[in-house]
Amino acid sequence: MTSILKHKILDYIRKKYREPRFEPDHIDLQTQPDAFDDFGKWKTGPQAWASDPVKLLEQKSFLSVVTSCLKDLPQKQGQALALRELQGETTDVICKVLNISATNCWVLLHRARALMRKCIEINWMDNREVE
Amino acid sequence: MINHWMFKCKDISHLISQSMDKKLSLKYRMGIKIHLMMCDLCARYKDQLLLINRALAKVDTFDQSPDALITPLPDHAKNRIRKALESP
Repeated sequence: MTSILKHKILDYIRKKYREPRFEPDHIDLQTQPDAFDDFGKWKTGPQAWASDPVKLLEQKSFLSVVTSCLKDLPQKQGQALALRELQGETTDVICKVLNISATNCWVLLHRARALMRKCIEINWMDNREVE
Repeated sequence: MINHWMFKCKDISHLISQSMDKKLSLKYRMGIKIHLMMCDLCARYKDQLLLINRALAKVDTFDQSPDALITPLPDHAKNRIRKALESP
């Protein structure tokens, strides 16, 4: 009984010390909580960017929005996403380079993508040329 | 049984991202597939993430090298200063 408690306390202490070190920009990452309601459903949901989204890839203005959004990401997220999508590295490599756990790596990439999407949506919808 | 395959949009958004980095187990692959058939918003989310990946691949060639994002600034700055000093 006491040893269970002892281990629980040890776990707690370990966790407490580990977390801030592995994910320093944790607070910055909480930019997405309002995308979903209490039931896990989209509140407003992703907006359509264009009638033919693939054509966006031909537009310099769209690509420059993508670039500036990548630069605006919190540092670790930007690094993780750049390593993954620009360098084509596997998550194993990204974990080692950024010195984070595999789970953290997926969370980081997920948040990076979610933020990128949001950033592009906000900046693109405001500035896009009329179709 | 039905509940076993049912995921919330919030979970799906996470799973969609993971599916781009590793092969998910059958349970999750099926979960995503079934959810996307019923949920237009998540389907759009997935399409947009794929579009972003394609855009990033283009950005790489038309913009700066990704090293600028990866190399810690001190080294980067040091190299630049060194080069600037070496050039006449």
